[in-house]
Amino acid sequence: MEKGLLIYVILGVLVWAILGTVVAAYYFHQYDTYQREYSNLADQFASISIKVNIFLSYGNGTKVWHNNTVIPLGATAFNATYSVAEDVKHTDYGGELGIIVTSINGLANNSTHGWLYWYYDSGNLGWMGLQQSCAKHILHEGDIIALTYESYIPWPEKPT
Amino acid sequence: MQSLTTRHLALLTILSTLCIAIQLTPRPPNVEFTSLLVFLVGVFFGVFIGSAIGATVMIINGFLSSWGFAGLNLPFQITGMVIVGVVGELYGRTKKGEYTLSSCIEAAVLGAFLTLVYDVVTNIGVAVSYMLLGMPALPAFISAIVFGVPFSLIHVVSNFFVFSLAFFPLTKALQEFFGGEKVWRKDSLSM
Repeated sequence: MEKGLLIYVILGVLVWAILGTVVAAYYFHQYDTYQREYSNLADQFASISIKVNIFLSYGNGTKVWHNNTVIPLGATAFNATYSVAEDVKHTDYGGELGIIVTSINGLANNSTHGWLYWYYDSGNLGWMGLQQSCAKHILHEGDIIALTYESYIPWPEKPT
Repeated sequence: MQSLTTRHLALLTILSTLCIAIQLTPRPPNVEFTSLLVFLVGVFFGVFIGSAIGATVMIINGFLSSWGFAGLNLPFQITGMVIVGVVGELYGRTKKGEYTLSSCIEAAVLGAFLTLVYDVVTNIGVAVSYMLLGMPALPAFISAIVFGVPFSLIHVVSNFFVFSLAFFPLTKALQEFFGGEKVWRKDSLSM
């Protein structure tokens, strides 16, 4: 290769190498900065949020676990439903009955089937049906709840 | 030191004014034509005039730029532009007035390299300001380089294209203006 040409090639490669190095350093710095910011934010968020495990069973064999779902401190089973399902419809009957979820991800309650809430008792009781509106059942760190689409007649089996 | 004819002086005045006008015109950050024009003046008029124009433009730009007063960075900007003028003369001596289309590539690579050198020099200026605030030298320099990367990237890439596209046509135009660089160097300038 001609000497003059070689000098320009070397110069071009040198520029490329230096630029590549500093750009890599820039992105490493950006990565480091955002990683630290994320960690700080996650630490702060941990003090105002809880992690729960949510089980969704669509009654047709489709079962999905949403483990370690992060929800705000004081959130209810109803709030948690919104964090794992894209399309949730509900009816607020007010009073003691309160809110009832009528449809999740397009699967709606009807005269024979509906969405039922369960919570897992870590003692000996296992799965227990909610005795109140899902909007009144406040969740705690590590709680396990299930939403199952089941037939009312006969009364459904516990989630498996 | 070379003596200048009225024709040369007029040209230098126009180029200087052009540099300053472009520098002070609102534009994308670090997209500039001063490096090219200083390089070009270095090629045609030598290191002293090239550097003088670069320094003058940078001084005026340092005070009147829309980005604010250059402050401590001003001497570093002047140094960076003087380097462009020096390399311009060296390139002009190497080519001896024989510019071809391959000069576009050479000028583009030189332009990118000189821009990188300019950015490193001015980043040293930024690092010095960090050091005055109490930061150790090495972290200050690395911080200055790293934070300046987006601007350096724009600067180097834009100057690569500016040099590659504009250097050859401008040299041709100037050679025609002077009646051919060889003739011009021999007859109208006493080096």
